Amino acid sequence: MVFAVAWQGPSLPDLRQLLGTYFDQYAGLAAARRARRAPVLVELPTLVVQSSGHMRAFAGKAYLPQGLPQGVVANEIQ
Amino acid sequence: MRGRAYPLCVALLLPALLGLGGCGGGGGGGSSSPTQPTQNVQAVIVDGGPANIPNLAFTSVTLCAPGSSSNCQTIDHIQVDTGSAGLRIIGSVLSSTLSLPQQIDAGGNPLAECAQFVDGYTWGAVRVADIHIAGEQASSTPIQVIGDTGFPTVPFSCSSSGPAENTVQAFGANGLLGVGVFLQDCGSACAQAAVPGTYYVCPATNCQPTAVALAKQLQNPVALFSADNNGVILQLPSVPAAGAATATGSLIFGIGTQSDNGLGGATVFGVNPSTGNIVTAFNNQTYTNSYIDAGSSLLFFGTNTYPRCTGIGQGFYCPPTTQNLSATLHGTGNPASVVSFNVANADQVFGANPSFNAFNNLAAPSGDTTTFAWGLPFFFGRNVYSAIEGRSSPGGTGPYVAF
Repeated sequence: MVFAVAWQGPSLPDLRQLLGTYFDQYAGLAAARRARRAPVLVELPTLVVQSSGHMRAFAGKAYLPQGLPQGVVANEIQ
Repeated sequence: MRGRAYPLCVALLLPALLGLGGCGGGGGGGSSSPTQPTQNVQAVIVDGGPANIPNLAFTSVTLCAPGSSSNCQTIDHIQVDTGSAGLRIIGSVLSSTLSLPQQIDAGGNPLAECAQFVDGYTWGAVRVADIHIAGEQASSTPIQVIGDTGFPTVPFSCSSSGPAENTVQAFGANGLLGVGVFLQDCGSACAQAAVPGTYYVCPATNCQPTAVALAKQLQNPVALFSADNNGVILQLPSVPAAGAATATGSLIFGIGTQSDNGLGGATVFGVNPSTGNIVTAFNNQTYTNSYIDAGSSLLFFGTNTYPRCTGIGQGFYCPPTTQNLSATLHGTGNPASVVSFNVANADQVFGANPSFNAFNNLAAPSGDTTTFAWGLPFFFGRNVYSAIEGRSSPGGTGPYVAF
Protein backbone atom coordinates (compact mmCIF):
# COMPACT_ATOMS: atom_id res chain seq x y z
CA MET A 1 0.00 0.00 0.00
CA VAL A 2 1.04 3.61 -0.55
CA PHE A 3 1.41 5.46 2.75
CA ALA A 4 3.41 8.50 1.69
CA VAL A 5 4.33 10.60 -1.35
CA ALA A 6 6.89 13.40 -1.66
CA TRP A 7 7.64 15.92 -4.39
CA GLN A 8 10.22 18.55 -5.29
CA GLY A 9 10.44 20.55 -8.51
CA PRO A 10 9.73 23.74 -10.45
CA SER A 11 5.96 23.15 -10.56
CA LEU A 12 3.45 21.44 -8.31
CA PRO A 13 2.48 17.83 -8.96
CA ASP A 14 -1.04 16.64 -9.70
CA LEU A 15 -2.18 16.71 -6.09
CA ARG A 16 -5.66 15.52 -7.02
CA GLN A 17 -4.12 12.31 -8.28
CA LEU A 18 -1.62 12.02 -5.43
CA LEU A 19 -4.14 12.69 -2.67
CA GLY A 20 -7.03 10.88 -4.28
CA THR A 21 -10.18 11.13 -2.23
CA TYR A 22 -8.42 13.44 0.24
CA PHE A 23 -7.88 16.22 -2.34
CA ASP A 24 -11.11 18.13 -1.80
CA GLN A 25 -10.58 18.12 1.96
CA TYR A 26 -7.02 19.38 1.48
CA ALA A 27 -8.11 22.15 -0.89
CA GLY A 28 -10.87 23.29 1.44
CA LEU A 29 -8.55 23.55 4.43
CA ALA A 30 -5.80 25.26 2.40
CA ALA A 31 -8.24 27.91 1.21
CA ALA A 32 -9.69 28.64 4.63
CA ARG A 33 -6.53 30.09 6.20
CA ARG A 34 -5.80 33.68 7.19
CA ALA A 35 -2.74 33.78 4.97
CA ARG A 36 -1.98 33.84 1.25
CA ARG A 37 0.92 32.76 -0.98
CA ALA A 38 1.99 30.74 2.02
CA PRO A 39 3.12 27.18 2.75
CA VAL A 40 0.30 24.80 3.61
CA LEU A 41 0.28 22.40 6.53
CA VAL A 42 -2.82 20.27 6.87
CA GLU A 43 -2.76 17.91 9.84
CA LEU A 44 -5.67 15.55 10.28
CA PRO A 45 -5.78 12.24 12.12
CA THR A 46 -6.05 10.48 8.78
CA LEU A 47 -3.92 12.74 6.57
CA VAL A 48 -0.94 15.09 6.76
CA VAL A 49 -0.01 17.33 3.80
CA GLN A 50 2.98 19.66 3.83
CA SER A 51 3.39 21.89 0.79
CA SER A 52 5.87 24.75 0.59
CA GLY A 53 7.93 26.82 -1.83
CA HIS A 54 7.22 29.32 -4.56
CA MET A 55 7.20 29.48 -8.36
CA ARG A 56 10.16 27.47 -9.75
CA ALA A 57 10.81 25.70 -6.42
CA PHE A 58 8.08 23.65 -4.80
CA ALA A 59 8.51 20.86 -2.28
CA GLY A 60 6.17 18.84 -0.16
CA LYS A 61 4.91 15.54 1.06
CA ALA A 62 1.74 13.83 2.12
CA TYR A 63 1.28 10.80 4.29
CA LEU A 64 -1.28 8.77 6.14
CA PRO A 65 -0.16 8.86 9.80
CA GLN A 66 -2.01 5.69 10.59
CA GLY A 67 -0.44 3.95 7.62
CA LEU A 68 3.21 4.54 8.45
CA PRO A 69 5.00 1.23 8.99
CA GLN A 70 6.29 0.72 12.48
CA GLY A 71 9.64 2.46 12.93
CA VAL A 72 9.14 4.99 10.10
CA VAL A 73 8.94 8.64 11.20
CA ALA A 74 7.52 11.38 9.00
CA ASN A 75 10.82 13.22 8.60
CA GLU A 76 12.26 10.22 6.78
CA ILE A 77 9.81 10.68 3.91
CA GLN A 78 11.58 12.42 1.08
CA MET B 1 -16.18 46.39 -0.63
CA ARG B 2 -12.61 47.49 -0.40
CA GLY B 3 -11.38 46.10 -3.67
CA ARG B 4 -11.94 49.10 -5.86
CA ALA B 5 -10.68 49.90 -9.27
CA TYR B 6 -10.76 53.44 -10.56
CA PRO B 7 -10.87 54.09 -14.27
CA LEU B 8 -8.63 57.10 -13.71
CA CYS B 9 -5.05 58.09 -14.12
CA VAL B 10 -4.46 59.39 -10.61
CA ALA B 11 -1.20 57.49 -10.23
CA LEU B 12 0.20 59.37 -13.19
CA LEU B 13 -0.30 62.84 -11.84
CA LEU B 14 3.22 62.96 -10.51
CA PRO B 15 4.94 61.94 -13.74
CA ALA B 16 2.70 64.40 -15.52
CA LEU B 17 3.92 67.15 -13.23
CA LEU B 18 7.47 66.10 -13.94
CA GLY B 19 6.91 66.64 -17.62
CA LEU B 20 7.01 62.97 -18.48
CA GLY B 21 3.80 62.97 -20.42
CA GLY B 22 0.13 63.01 -19.60
CA CYS B 23 -2.23 60.31 -18.57
CA GLY B 24 -0.71 57.06 -19.73
CA GLY B 25 2.62 58.58 -20.48
CA GLY B 26 2.27 58.06 -24.22
CA GLY B 27 5.36 55.87 -24.15
CA GLY B 28 7.54 58.48 -22.50
CA GLY B 29 7.29 57.28 -18.90
CA GLY B 30 10.67 55.63 -18.86
CA SER B 31 12.74 58.31 -20.54
CA SER B 32 14.30 60.67 -18.06
CA SER B 33 15.20 64.18 -19.03
CA PRO B 34 18.70 65.38 -18.21
CA THR B 35 17.49 67.46 -15.29
CA GLN B 36 14.62 65.39 -13.91
CA PRO B 37 15.25 61.75 -13.02
CA THR B 38 12.42 59.31 -13.59
CA GLN B 39 10.11 59.09 -10.62
CA ASN B 40 10.99 55.62 -9.37
CA VAL B 41 9.14 55.39 -6.04
CA GLN B 42 5.72 53.82 -5.69
CA ALA B 43 3.76 53.87 -2.43
CA VAL B 44 3.04 50.57 -0.68
CA ILE B 45 0.49 49.94 2.07
CA VAL B 46 -0.12 47.01 4.39
CA ASP B 47 -3.78 47.36 5.33
CA GLY B 48 -5.42 43.98 5.12
CA GLY B 49 -6.76 44.59 1.66
CA PRO B 50 -10.03 43.35 0.18
CA ALA B 51 -10.08 40.03 2.08
CA ASN B 52 -8.68 41.25 5.41
CA ILE B 53 -5.53 39.15 5.26
CA PRO B 54 -2.74 40.46 7.50
CA ASN B 55 0.72 41.21 6.15
CA LEU B 56 0.05 41.61 2.46
CA ALA B 57 1.85 44.63 0.95
CA PHE B 58 -0.24 46.41 -1.69
CA THR B 59 0.48 48.98 -4.35
CA SER B 60 -1.38 50.37 -7.35
CA VAL B 61 -0.67 49.91 -11.02
CA THR B 62 -1.97 51.65 -14.13
CA LEU B 63 -2.76 49.52 -17.17
CA CYS B 64 -3.24 50.91 -20.64
CA ALA B 65 -4.05 49.29 -23.94
CA PRO B 66 -0.71 49.00 -25.75
CA GLY B 67 0.29 52.39 -27.15
CA SER B 68 -2.73 54.17 -25.74
CA SER B 69 -2.60 57.14 -23.39
CA SER B 70 -6.35 57.27 -22.84
CA ASN B 71 -7.59 53.69 -22.64
CA CYS B 72 -6.18 53.22 -19.15
CA GLN B 73 -7.19 52.10 -15.67
CA THR B 74 -5.48 52.43 -12.32
CA ILE B 75 -6.04 49.50 -9.99
CA ASP B 76 -5.28 49.57 -6.29
CA HIS B 77 -4.58 46.75 -3.86
CA ILE B 78 -2.21 44.89 -6.13
CA GLN B 79 -0.03 42.73 -3.89
CA VAL B 80 3.74 43.21 -4.19
CA ASP B 81 5.48 39.85 -4.58
CA THR B 82 9.24 39.36 -4.70
CA GLY B 83 8.74 35.60 -5.05
CA SER B 84 7.30 35.61 -8.55
CA ALA B 85 7.50 37.47 -11.85
CA GLY B 86 4.77 39.19 -13.82
CA LEU B 87 1.60 41.18 -13.31
CA ARG B 88 -1.68 39.37 -12.64
CA ILE B 89 -5.03 41.09 -12.35
CA ILE B 90 -8.36 39.64 -11.25
CA GLY B 91 -10.50 40.11 -14.34
CA SER B 92 -13.56 41.31 -12.45
CA VAL B 93 -11.83 44.55 -11.39
CA LEU B 94 -11.04 45.52 -14.97
CA SER B 95 -13.25 48.09 -16.61
CA SER B 96 -15.29 46.77 -19.51
CA THR B 97 -13.94 49.63 -21.60
CA LEU B 98 -10.30 48.67 -21.10
CA SER B 99 -9.62 46.42 -24.05
CA LEU B 100 -6.37 44.54 -23.71
CA PRO B 101 -5.35 42.38 -26.66
CA GLN B 102 -5.13 38.62 -26.27
CA GLN B 103 -1.62 37.16 -26.30
CA ILE B 104 -1.18 34.61 -29.08
CA ASP B 105 1.37 31.91 -29.77
CA ALA B 106 3.49 31.55 -32.91
CA GLY B 107 0.57 29.84 -34.62
CA GLY B 108 -1.82 32.68 -33.84
CA ASN B 109 -3.76 30.77 -31.19
CA PRO B 110 -4.69 32.41 -27.87
CA LEU B 111 -2.63 31.68 -24.77
CA ALA B 112 -3.91 31.21 -21.24
CA GLU B 113 -2.06 30.52 -18.04
CA CYS B 114 -2.39 28.51 -14.90
CA ALA B 115 -0.28 30.13 -12.21
CA GLN B 116 0.63 27.83 -9.37
CA PHE B 117 1.04 29.32 -5.96
CA VAL B 118 1.89 27.02 -3.12
CA ASP B 119 -1.58 27.35 -1.63
CA GLY B 120 -3.70 27.57 -4.77
CA TYR B 121 -3.86 28.36 -8.46
CA THR B 122 -5.08 31.17 -10.68
CA TRP B 123 -6.41 30.59 -14.20
CA GLY B 124 -6.96 33.09 -16.97
CA ALA B 125 -6.05 34.58 -20.31
CA VAL B 126 -2.66 36.04 -21.10
CA ARG B 127 -3.23 39.55 -22.42
CA VAL B 128 -0.93 42.40 -23.38
CA ALA B 129 -0.83 45.80 -21.69
CA ASP B 130 1.35 48.82 -21.10
CA ILE B 131 2.12 48.94 -17.39
CA HIS B 132 2.74 52.27 -15.66
CA ILE B 133 4.07 52.37 -12.10
CA ALA B 134 5.38 55.60 -10.59
CA GLY B 135 7.13 57.23 -13.56
CA GLU B 136 8.18 53.91 -15.07
CA GLN B 137 6.64 52.12 -18.02
CA ALA B 138 6.77 48.54 -19.31
CA SER B 139 5.31 48.52 -22.81
CA SER B 140 3.36 45.69 -24.45
CA THR B 141 3.82 43.40 -21.47
CA PRO B 142 2.15 39.99 -21.20
CA ILE B 143 -0.05 39.86 -18.08
CA GLN B 144 -2.45 37.27 -16.68
CA VAL B 145 -6.10 38.27 -16.48
CA ILE B 146 -7.36 35.90 -13.79
CA GLY B 147 -10.84 34.52 -14.25
CA ASP B 148 -11.05 36.04 -17.72
CA THR B 149 -14.45 35.13 -19.07
CA GLY B 150 -13.00 34.15 -22.44
CA PHE B 151 -11.75 30.81 -21.09
CA PRO B 152 -14.26 29.73 -18.48
CA THR B 153 -13.28 26.09 -18.31
CA VAL B 154 -10.28 25.44 -16.08
CA PRO B 155 -8.22 22.51 -17.42
CA PHE B 156 -8.15 19.57 -15.04
CA SER B 157 -4.34 19.62 -14.95
CA CYS B 158 -4.57 23.20 -13.64
CA SER B 159 -7.23 22.73 -10.98
CA SER B 160 -5.40 19.67 -9.66
CA SER B 161 -2.70 21.64 -7.85
CA GLY B 162 -4.92 23.04 -5.09
CA PRO B 163 -7.81 25.39 -4.39
CA ALA B 164 -8.89 28.04 -6.91
CA GLU B 165 -7.88 31.66 -6.19
CA ASN B 166 -9.67 33.28 -9.11
CA THR B 167 -11.69 35.90 -7.26
CA VAL B 168 -10.62 38.97 -5.28
CA GLN B 169 -11.74 37.33 -2.05
CA ALA B 170 -10.02 34.03 -2.70
CA PHE B 171 -6.85 35.71 -3.95
CA GLY B 172 -6.85 38.32 -1.19
CA ALA B 173 -5.95 41.10 -3.61
CA ASN B 174 -7.03 42.74 -6.86
CA GLY B 175 -3.89 41.37 -8.45
CA LEU B 176 -0.24 40.53 -7.95
CA LEU B 177 2.87 42.41 -9.05
CA GLY B 178 5.71 39.91 -9.35
CA VAL B 179 8.99 41.82 -9.13
CA GLY B 180 11.33 39.06 -7.95
CA VAL B 181 14.76 38.02 -9.20
CA PHE B 182 13.60 36.23 -12.37
CA LEU B 183 12.84 37.73 -15.78
CA GLN B 184 9.84 35.48 -16.49
CA ASP B 185 7.48 33.61 -14.23
CA CYS B 186 8.28 30.14 -15.56
CA GLY B 187 11.33 30.67 -17.76
CA SER B 188 13.21 28.14 -19.84
CA ALA B 189 11.34 25.10 -18.48
CA CYS B 190 8.15 26.37 -20.13
CA ALA B 191 9.96 27.46 -23.30
CA GLN B 192 11.41 23.99 -23.87
CA ALA B 193 8.37 21.84 -23.16
CA ALA B 194 4.66 21.91 -22.43
CA VAL B 195 4.42 21.80 -18.63
CA PRO B 196 0.95 20.94 -17.29
CA GLY B 197 -0.17 23.51 -14.75
CA THR B 198 1.59 26.42 -16.48
CA TYR B 199 0.86 27.70 -20.00
CA TYR B 200 -1.99 26.55 -22.24
CA VAL B 201 -2.96 27.15 -25.83
CA CYS B 202 -6.67 27.51 -26.49
CA PRO B 203 -7.45 27.17 -30.20
CA ALA B 204 -11.06 26.44 -29.32
CA THR B 205 -12.83 25.90 -26.02
CA ASN B 206 -10.43 23.11 -25.10
CA CYS B 207 -7.10 24.36 -23.71
CA GLN B 208 -3.99 22.18 -23.84
CA PRO B 209 -0.58 22.58 -22.15
CA THR B 210 1.92 24.20 -24.49
CA ALA B 211 5.50 25.41 -24.58
CA VAL B 212 5.72 29.21 -24.73
CA ALA B 213 8.70 31.27 -25.91
CA LEU B 214 10.35 33.32 -23.16
CA ALA B 215 9.22 36.64 -24.64
CA LYS B 216 5.58 35.55 -24.67
CA GLN B 217 5.57 34.46 -21.02
CA LEU B 218 4.67 36.80 -18.18
CA GLN B 219 7.54 39.22 -17.69
CA ASN B 220 8.92 40.89 -14.62
CA PRO B 221 7.79 44.39 -15.61
CA VAL B 222 10.80 46.03 -13.96
CA ALA B 223 13.10 44.32 -16.44
CA LEU B 224 11.20 46.06 -19.27
CA PHE B 225 11.61 49.58 -17.92
CA SER B 226 13.92 51.71 -20.04
CA ALA B 227 15.93 52.56 -16.92
CA ASP B 228 15.87 51.45 -13.27
CA ASN B 229 15.50 47.96 -14.70
CA ASN B 230 17.94 45.87 -12.67
CA GLY B 231 15.82 45.24 -9.57
CA VAL B 232 13.74 46.73 -6.79
CA ILE B 233 13.94 47.75 -3.17
CA LEU B 234 11.00 47.14 -0.87
CA GLN B 235 11.16 49.55 2.01
CA LEU B 236 8.77 49.04 4.91
CA PRO B 237 8.84 50.84 8.27
CA SER B 238 9.37 49.25 11.65
CA VAL B 239 6.20 48.24 13.45
CA PRO B 240 5.72 47.79 17.20
CA ALA B 241 5.62 44.36 18.80
CA ALA B 242 1.86 44.67 19.08
CA GLY B 243 1.63 45.28 15.35
CA ALA B 244 0.01 48.22 13.59
CA ALA B 245 -3.32 48.92 11.95
CA THR B 246 -1.52 49.82 8.75
CA ALA B 247 2.03 50.37 7.56
CA THR B 248 3.08 52.45 4.58
CA GLY B 249 6.32 52.10 2.67
CA SER B 250 7.84 52.29 -0.78
CA LEU B 251 8.62 50.11 -3.73
CA ILE B 252 11.69 51.68 -5.32
CA PHE B 253 12.74 50.74 -8.84
CA GLY B 254 16.38 50.23 -9.78
CA ILE B 255 19.44 49.44 -7.69
CA GLY B 256 22.21 52.00 -7.82
CA THR B 257 20.65 53.78 -10.78
CA GLN B 258 19.58 56.95 -8.98
CA SER B 259 20.41 58.88 -5.83
CA ASP B 260 17.55 57.19 -3.95
CA ASN B 261 18.30 53.52 -4.61
CA GLY B 262 21.93 52.89 -3.68
CA LEU B 263 22.97 49.61 -2.13
CA GLY B 264 24.36 51.38 0.93
CA GLY B 265 25.66 48.97 3.52
CA ALA B 266 23.38 46.11 2.51
CA THR B 267 24.85 42.60 2.46
CA VAL B 268 24.46 40.73 -0.82
CA PHE B 269 23.25 37.12 -0.89
CA GLY B 270 23.51 35.33 -4.18
CA VAL B 271 20.47 33.09 -4.67
CA ASN B 272 20.28 29.75 -6.44
CA PRO B 273 19.92 30.75 -10.12
CA SER B 274 17.34 28.02 -10.74
CA THR B 275 15.18 28.33 -7.65
CA GLY B 276 15.91 31.74 -6.11
CA ASN B 277 16.56 29.99 -2.80
CA ILE B 278 19.16 30.59 -0.10
CA VAL B 279 20.02 28.53 2.99
CA THR B 280 19.01 29.29 6.57
CA ALA B 281 20.61 27.74 9.63
CA PHE B 282 18.38 27.90 12.68
CA ASN B 283 18.08 25.94 15.89
CA ASN B 284 20.67 23.37 14.84
CA GLN B 285 18.84 22.67 11.60
CA THR B 286 19.76 23.61 8.04
CA TYR B 287 16.82 24.76 5.94
CA THR B 288 18.01 24.27 2.38
CA ASN B 289 14.79 25.54 0.77
CA SER B 290 14.89 29.00 2.24
CA TYR B 291 13.71 32.20 0.56
CA ILE B 292 13.13 35.88 1.22
CA ASP B 293 9.71 36.66 -0.22
CA ALA B 294 7.47 39.66 0.36
CA GLY B 295 4.60 37.69 -1.14
CA SER B 296 4.55 35.20 1.74
CA SER B 297 2.61 36.82 4.53
CA LEU B 298 4.43 35.28 7.51
CA LEU B 299 7.62 33.61 8.61
CA PHE B 300 7.24 29.92 7.84
CA PHE B 301 9.52 27.24 9.21
CA GLY B 302 9.17 23.79 10.66
CA THR B 303 10.00 23.10 14.26
CA ASN B 304 8.49 21.15 17.11
CA THR B 305 9.70 23.73 19.63
CA TYR B 306 6.60 25.91 19.78
CA PRO B 307 2.99 24.95 20.34
CA ARG B 308 0.38 25.69 17.70
CA CYS B 309 -2.28 28.30 18.37
CA THR B 310 -5.71 27.06 19.31
CA GLY B 311 -7.68 30.33 19.16
CA ILE B 312 -7.92 33.22 16.71
CA GLY B 313 -4.36 32.52 15.57
CA GLN B 314 -5.12 28.95 14.59
CA GLY B 315 -2.48 27.70 12.19
CA PHE B 316 0.18 30.02 13.62
CA TYR B 317 2.81 29.40 16.28
CA CYS B 318 1.85 30.30 19.83
CA PRO B 319 4.86 30.24 22.17
CA PRO B 320 3.85 31.13 25.75
CA THR B 321 5.97 34.29 25.56
CA THR B 322 7.57 36.12 22.65
CA GLN B 323 10.73 34.32 21.54
CA ASN B 324 13.79 36.42 20.65
CA LEU B 325 15.59 34.31 18.07
CA SER B 326 18.38 34.45 15.55
CA ALA B 327 19.19 32.53 12.39
CA THR B 328 22.10 32.54 9.96
CA LEU B 329 21.46 33.14 6.27
CA HIS B 330 23.83 31.83 3.61
CA GLY B 331 23.82 32.92 -0.01
CA THR B 332 25.74 31.23 -2.81
CA GLY B 333 29.42 31.76 -2.08
CA ASN B 334 28.82 34.69 0.17
CA PRO B 335 29.53 35.35 3.80
CA ALA B 336 26.81 34.39 6.22
CA SER B 337 24.73 36.94 8.05
CA VAL B 338 22.93 36.61 11.35
CA VAL B 339 19.32 37.78 11.41
CA SER B 340 17.40 38.45 14.62
CA PHE B 341 13.67 37.90 14.66
CA ASN B 342 10.82 37.42 17.08
CA VAL B 343 8.00 34.93 17.24
CA ALA B 344 5.05 36.11 19.29
CA ASN B 345 1.94 34.31 20.44
CA ALA B 346 -0.47 34.85 17.55
CA ASP B 347 -3.56 34.17 19.66
CA GLN B 348 -2.53 37.00 22.00
CA VAL B 349 -1.38 39.38 19.24
CA PHE B 350 -4.54 39.00 17.14
CA GLY B 351 -6.73 38.99 20.23
CA ALA B 352 -5.31 42.25 21.59
CA ASN B 353 -5.85 44.19 18.36
CA PRO B 354 -8.18 42.34 16.01
CA SER B 355 -8.17 45.18 13.49
CA PHE B 356 -4.37 45.30 13.06
CA ASN B 357 -2.86 44.25 9.74
CA ALA B 358 0.93 44.69 9.96
CA PHE B 359 3.02 42.36 12.14
CA ASN B 360 6.75 41.69 12.33
CA ASN B 361 6.63 38.74 14.70
CA LEU B 362 4.14 36.16 13.45
CA ALA B 363 5.23 32.75 12.27
CA ALA B 364 3.60 29.52 11.22
CA PRO B 365 4.75 25.97 10.64
CA SER B 366 5.84 25.12 7.11
CA GLY B 367 5.44 21.50 7.98
CA ASP B 368 8.84 20.31 6.90
CA THR B 369 12.36 20.81 8.10
CA THR B 370 13.83 22.04 4.81
CA THR B 371 11.75 25.20 4.27
CA PHE B 372 12.33 28.55 5.96
CA ALA B 373 10.31 31.29 4.27
CA TRP B 374 11.25 34.82 5.27
CA GLY B 375 7.95 36.47 4.50
CA LEU B 376 6.71 39.99 5.12
CA PRO B 377 7.58 40.12 8.87
CA PHE B 378 11.23 40.11 7.78
CA PHE B 379 10.71 43.19 5.59
CA PHE B 380 9.52 45.57 8.31
CA GLY B 381 12.27 48.00 9.30
CA ARG B 382 14.49 46.95 6.40
CA ASN B 383 15.37 47.87 2.85
CA VAL B 384 15.26 44.54 1.02
CA TYR B 385 16.79 44.42 -2.47
CA SER B 386 15.82 41.94 -5.20
CA ALA B 387 18.28 42.01 -8.09
CA ILE B 388 17.14 40.59 -11.43
CA GLU B 389 18.99 37.70 -13.06
CA GLY B 390 21.63 38.71 -15.60
CA ARG B 391 21.40 42.41 -14.76
CA SER B 392 24.35 44.22 -13.23
CA SER B 393 23.99 46.45 -10.21
CA PRO B 394 26.30 47.61 -7.42
CA GLY B 395 26.01 44.22 -5.67
CA GLY B 396 27.15 42.32 -8.76
CA THR B 397 25.15 40.46 -11.38
CA GLY B 398 21.76 39.13 -10.35
CA PRO B 399 20.06 37.07 -9.18
CA TYR B 400 20.68 38.16 -5.63
CA VAL B 401 18.87 39.54 -2.63
CA ALA B 402 20.41 42.08 -0.27
CA PHE B 403 19.47 43.75 2.99
